[in-house]
Amino acid sequence: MNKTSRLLVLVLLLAAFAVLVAACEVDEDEAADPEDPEEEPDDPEEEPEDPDDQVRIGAMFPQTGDLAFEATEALEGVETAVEMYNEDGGLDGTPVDFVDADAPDPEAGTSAVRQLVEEDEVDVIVGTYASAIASAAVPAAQRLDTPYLETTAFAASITEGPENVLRTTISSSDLGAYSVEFIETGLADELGESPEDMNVAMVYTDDEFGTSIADAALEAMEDSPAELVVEESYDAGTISDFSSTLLQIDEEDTDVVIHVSQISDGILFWRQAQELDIDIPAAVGAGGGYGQTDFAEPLGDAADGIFNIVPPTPGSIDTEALTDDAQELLARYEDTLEEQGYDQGVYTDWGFMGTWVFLNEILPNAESTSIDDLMEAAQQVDVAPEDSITGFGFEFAGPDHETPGQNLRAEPVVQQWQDVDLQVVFPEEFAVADYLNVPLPDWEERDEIEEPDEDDE
Amino acid sequence: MADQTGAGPAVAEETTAAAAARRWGPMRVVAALAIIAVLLVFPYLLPSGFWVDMAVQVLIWGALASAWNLSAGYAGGLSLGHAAFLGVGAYTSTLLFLELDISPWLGMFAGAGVAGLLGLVLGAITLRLRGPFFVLATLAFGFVVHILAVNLRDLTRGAAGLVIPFDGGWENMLFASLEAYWYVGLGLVAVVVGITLWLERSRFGYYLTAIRENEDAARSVGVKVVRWKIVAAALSAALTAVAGTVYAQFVQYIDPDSTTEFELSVQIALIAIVGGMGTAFGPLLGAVVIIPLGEVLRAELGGGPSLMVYGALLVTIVLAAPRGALPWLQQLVRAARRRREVSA
Amino acid sequence: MDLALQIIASGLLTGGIYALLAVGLTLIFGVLRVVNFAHGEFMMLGMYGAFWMWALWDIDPYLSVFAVVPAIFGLGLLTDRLIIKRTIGAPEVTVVFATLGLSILLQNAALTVFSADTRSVTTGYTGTALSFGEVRVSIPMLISFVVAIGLALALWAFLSRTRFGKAIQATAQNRDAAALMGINVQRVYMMTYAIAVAGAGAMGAIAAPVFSVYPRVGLSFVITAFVIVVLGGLGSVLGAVIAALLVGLVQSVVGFLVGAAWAEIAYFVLFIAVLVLRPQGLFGRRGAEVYQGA
Repeated sequence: MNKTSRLLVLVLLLAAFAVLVAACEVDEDEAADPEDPEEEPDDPEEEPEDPDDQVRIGAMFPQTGDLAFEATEALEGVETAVEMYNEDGGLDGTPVDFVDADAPDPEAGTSAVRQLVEEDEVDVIVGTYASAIASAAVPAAQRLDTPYLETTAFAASITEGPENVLRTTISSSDLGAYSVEFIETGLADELGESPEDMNVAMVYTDDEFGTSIADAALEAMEDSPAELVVEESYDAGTISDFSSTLLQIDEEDTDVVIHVSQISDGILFWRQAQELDIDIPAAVGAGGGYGQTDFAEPLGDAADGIFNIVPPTPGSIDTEALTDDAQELLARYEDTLEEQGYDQGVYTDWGFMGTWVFLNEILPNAESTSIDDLMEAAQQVDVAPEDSITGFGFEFAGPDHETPGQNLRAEPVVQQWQDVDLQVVFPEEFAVADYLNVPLPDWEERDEIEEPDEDDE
Repeated sequence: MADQTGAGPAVAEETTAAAAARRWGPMRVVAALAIIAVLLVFPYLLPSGFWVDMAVQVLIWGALASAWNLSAGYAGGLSLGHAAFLGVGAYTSTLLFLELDISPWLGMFAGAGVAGLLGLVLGAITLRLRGPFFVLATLAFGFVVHILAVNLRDLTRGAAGLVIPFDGGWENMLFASLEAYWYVGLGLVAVVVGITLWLERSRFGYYLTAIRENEDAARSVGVKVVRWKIVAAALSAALTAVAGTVYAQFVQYIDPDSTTEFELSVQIALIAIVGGMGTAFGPLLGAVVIIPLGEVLRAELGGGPSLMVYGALLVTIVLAAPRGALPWLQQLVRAARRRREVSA
Repeated sequence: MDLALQIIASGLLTGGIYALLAVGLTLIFGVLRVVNFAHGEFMMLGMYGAFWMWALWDIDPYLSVFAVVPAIFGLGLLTDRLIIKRTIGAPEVTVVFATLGLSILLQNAALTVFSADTRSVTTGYTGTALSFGEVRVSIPMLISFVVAIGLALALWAFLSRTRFGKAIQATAQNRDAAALMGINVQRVYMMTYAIAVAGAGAMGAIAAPVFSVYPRVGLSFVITAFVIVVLGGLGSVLGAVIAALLVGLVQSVVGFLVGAAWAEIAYFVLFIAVLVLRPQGLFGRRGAEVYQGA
């Protein structure tokens, strides 16, 4: 017994070692191709400059671990953009090369940057979905003089310092501020209350996503006439009971809850609200779980009327209002996704459109793939909202802006769950549906899945 | 099961090793010098920065596992909360650097001091606990520190984490070249392994070994079990914090998940166990095997499957060779030598 | 007043859900002296079992329990044979890391097979509640509570009333003496482990209408369950039930008064305090905590 098991371990270790050696050899072969037009500060040997060579894009997203689910959607969007771009002939007739790396945490993020830049010799990195990973990876890429395209992470800090980043999606500070603005303007009107009388509860996950949006919203609340009555953060991975939070919300006569959540906690929150018979007149999510069908579907009718504030997506806007070109692009994009067997999530859409704009509007107009040249080319980008399948346009902040590289047209919209579908309801010029359930009906008045609740004692 | 290789062979090992040292003295010196020379130029032998990056990670993880081993391997304090000390070290030096502009070289000692104190207190209150109770207490401590790191947002900035702005220079322990981190990591490992070796040869080490082998027996022959266990716990915590500072300066970004999470505590322990608990070089060997293996598995198989293999490997190793790879390799070498001596 | 009652009711309900998980854990802990880190994963598998039977064949989770329990029981037997059996009497590091490895293995097997998607069961009674005056009691939570407490008590009765239950208890108290008395210790270990993890599977199935399932869902539950096991006293089934309710209460009360994040700190600190001051647990027998390792 003892001998055989030890033998087994030896075999396993040897196998591991063999895999390792094999991997090294493969990588060495790859590294032998001279193709990186950029200087690598760490490499004593000069790589031959060859600007005509293929451009290589490296995508890094957390494909393993807690964050993998939506991040993989984003990666699939990025990949689809590159694929379609190459179908169109690529850059001056040369297809763009694509590699991806897994970056489940910040340390792996910096390693992935190094792997992509030094092993795979990519020219541009596309990421990241998770803000914490981007926070480590973007500066790491800057140290290796590599430009970074952020398509899906919201944290404000990403564009508040590094000079090598272009972010096609919204910043959390805009998202948080916009949530409060909507409550003061659109929602107060609709509820028939003046903003001074609004009691707001802020409930959010204690992860990077939740806190970055909540911080911005809390800051905006300070200048708002509306009053903050509850502030509660929690761990989305361990929460098993929202009743204490819900009872506080009830006690404080809350008019609207801003809830930044993942999926399972979002569902639990609403199921418990129903069970405890706590009526919340309005609820505003900011992406995360509130943007997912997996959140709305189990809740069914109970989700009808819940708001979600995010940058728009093709699923939520009136795509008829897009230009013909954009509609054609959308159809082709959806076909390609289907061919690949990929699901179309909101992060797929954002990952795709951000990368598509980069490939078609920035890359061809840049002298080289250096940070400076790409940033300069990005200044020329002018994509109107109706030219983009997502319904938000592209215009990048210049180097002197306080958030250089930020897409200034990534304006959020207010969506509402209506029959397990997100519909834009605010601002009016983008609205595709009327408000539903404002205020949210009392639980007792809802008939679906309603309880035999009258058999009181 | 594999426990029959208890104290007896360990004594035999000492004597054969001593005999070998006498016989192979000059050659050993040459070999040691050669190894040092290779270590000094090692990063320049690697094909690319990616491999240097991995090599630095091996050193940091090796140091973490070695520090864990000081308490777990030598004093029987099997901790599943060591990430807490890693986090304390990383956050202390980083906050001092960001807020007060104190060099991480000094912040490192502050972090070690705070962690050492925490280790002392934790060691003192858990010293009566044995077996799984000790494991669970350290686990709970790790969770408490993690929750505090997430929620004391005024201090730690919570999940948003702390970005260390790159201001290169040795005085800030921030380097543009990866190779520099190799040398920092090498120094770190040298300190931790050096302390371990000193400990093995000191009276302190004998006490600890006695405690680990049989706590009651050690107590009965007058070893101040409690005192030595606490000292080992504090030393282990302080050194883990030092590695935490190096980690922070290397990644230049820290957040609660990447410095205090439960999974990190598991990883630290796992590396030491696979390499060989209670041996000076085992944890380092563990890092050399586990870190590249993890990377390769992830790249080859993808997330879920690679961690499945990882879990299966872990189970197999602790069942088949609970003393780890190094003692097992040593045994192989000894057996081979004995066979040669017999035939000679 | 009503508010206070509501907080207490909610806390007790949540505690009831923890109870069944903690009872199995304390049993394995008490009898095999194994810290079963993989316990939460068996619950996760139970949840997936209930989810898929609901999604594919529209079977109510309370019915699928009857399929989930034997399946997880079988898995428990297999696990014991392949892994747990080999850790008995092994150094402590083997025991801890074998079950940790198993936990990593099962969690990622679920990730590979089921993906990281969050999946939820919706039934006719989802979101429904009973009103007792002003206090509302969730029907699915109440059912889980009743089933969990009922199963826990049944287990307690089984241990104290039946022959095999007594054999289990005897083995827990002294393995060698039990073996001398003609008890098949290996079989006792195997059955204990399988029964306990089947309990975790049962809890997963009955909790499916309340909680969503994803591969990592077990971890947070098992950590809470460890706290409960230690509070309740090693190997004490009734202690575990009471401690589970206590932890639910602490969570709910501290959550309301201070905040959700601090509720967790509260019970971890309580946990360390109990470990240090009263290692036999709040309800355990003195001396039971003396660990008889390798």
